[in-house]
Amino acid sequence: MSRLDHEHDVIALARELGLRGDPAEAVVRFCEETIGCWAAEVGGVDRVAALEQLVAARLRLVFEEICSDDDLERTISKYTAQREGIFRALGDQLDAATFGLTIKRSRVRPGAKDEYVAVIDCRGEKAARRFFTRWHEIAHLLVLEREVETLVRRSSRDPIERLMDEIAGRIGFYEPLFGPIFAREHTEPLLRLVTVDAIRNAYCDEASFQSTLFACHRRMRTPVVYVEAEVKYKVEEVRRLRSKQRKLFADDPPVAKLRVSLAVPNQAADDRDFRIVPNMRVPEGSVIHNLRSDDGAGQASGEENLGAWEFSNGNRLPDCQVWIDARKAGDRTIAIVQPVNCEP
Amino acid sequence: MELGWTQDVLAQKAGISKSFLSDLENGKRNVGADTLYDIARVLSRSLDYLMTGKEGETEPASEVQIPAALAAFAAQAGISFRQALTLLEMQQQIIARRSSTKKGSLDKVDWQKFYEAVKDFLQ
Repeated sequence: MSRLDHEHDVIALARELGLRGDPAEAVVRFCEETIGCWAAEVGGVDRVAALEQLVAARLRLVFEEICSDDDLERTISKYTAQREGIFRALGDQLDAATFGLTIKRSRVRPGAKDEYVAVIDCRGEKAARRFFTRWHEIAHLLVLEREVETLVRRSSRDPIERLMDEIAGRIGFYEPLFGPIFAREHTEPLLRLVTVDAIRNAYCDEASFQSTLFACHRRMRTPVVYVEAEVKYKVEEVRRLRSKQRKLFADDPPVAKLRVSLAVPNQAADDRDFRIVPNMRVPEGSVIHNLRSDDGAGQASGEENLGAWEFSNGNRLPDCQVWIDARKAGDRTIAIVQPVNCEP
Repeated sequence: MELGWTQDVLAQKAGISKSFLSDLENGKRNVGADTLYDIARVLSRSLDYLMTGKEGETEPASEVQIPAALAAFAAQAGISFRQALTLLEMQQQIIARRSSTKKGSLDKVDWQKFYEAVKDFLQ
């Protein structure tokens, strides 16, 4: 059962779709089955690009990718010339935080093959999210007819958006295509980042490394925690730094340290209560810390004991020998943490 | 149905030429579904009405709620109810968005900005 199963909007969506069982899983399965039927009708698909093309056509969806400001102007001109006034506002709508949006056209007849236009912002760092954003927009359309709200101004933390990400992760890494590649490439008990690279190259090199990693993480039957670490302050230190209150005696200024900024357990980790806690400090001596300190290295791996990971109140994570595979990604370090001795 | 529009006005609103419209009225040309839909839309009539002269069975109209911020902006800017409604409909054309931050509802300033961007397309 997913945390999303307790969210009102997710429960309402599942009800609207007439689905039973755990709401989030039921909605995801509904989308998978819809796509599965479409693929079966054309005798199956052999590549994810062909699957996307098929699904987009069935949803009457076309994609417009914005790779530069010139692309943006071209897209605006293209649709405003067809009297779609909403596109004139596209520049404002695609702000720094927006990766993509889907527009229902008003100047074509309902049912036209381009009734919906998904505009994907691929400028700058957003390009890395291109593949996943396309599938995220598809996920919205798959449940659109019965979606609870029509005007969508939600954040990535909103339950419906998280559900759409869940759907995108499952249908974008479509089991009949992805499963055999995962089984072929993942031959060791533990997941390794180089294996994720190989799977990504074999499945779709347009998918980001991170989205492929999550697709693998989801399929692992043994506990895996995805971790992102970056140099940051404690929450309480941030509050202190932002406070305008003056003090009689100046405190030592806080020092930013390497901390866990994101920790995502897979289902097996959740089931076994194998966790790493966001905001906790990454201890010196950890594979992740050593990698961050080593300017020359791009990735590192090794065994360590999670019992050395300490909270600021002195408590520690339970003793557990783990294998950590870590890689630098800009200012962040990403890693997968897995117990060394763990049966599925 | 009396709107008091000339052929020029209807042709312009539907995005077709006056001569094409004239030919249609005189039964000299055939019309595609897209154009018919455009004409029906600007006349606020159904396709049934254009084809047969009679309205088909319609669903009861649902109540439209104008958001308070849009109403406030419309009052301040002096735009008509119909224009405010069109603005709302245009905004609602955005049916999905992937974003890392919470947007919340549009405020008066957002509507102003949106209006400035799309005002050439308001009826």
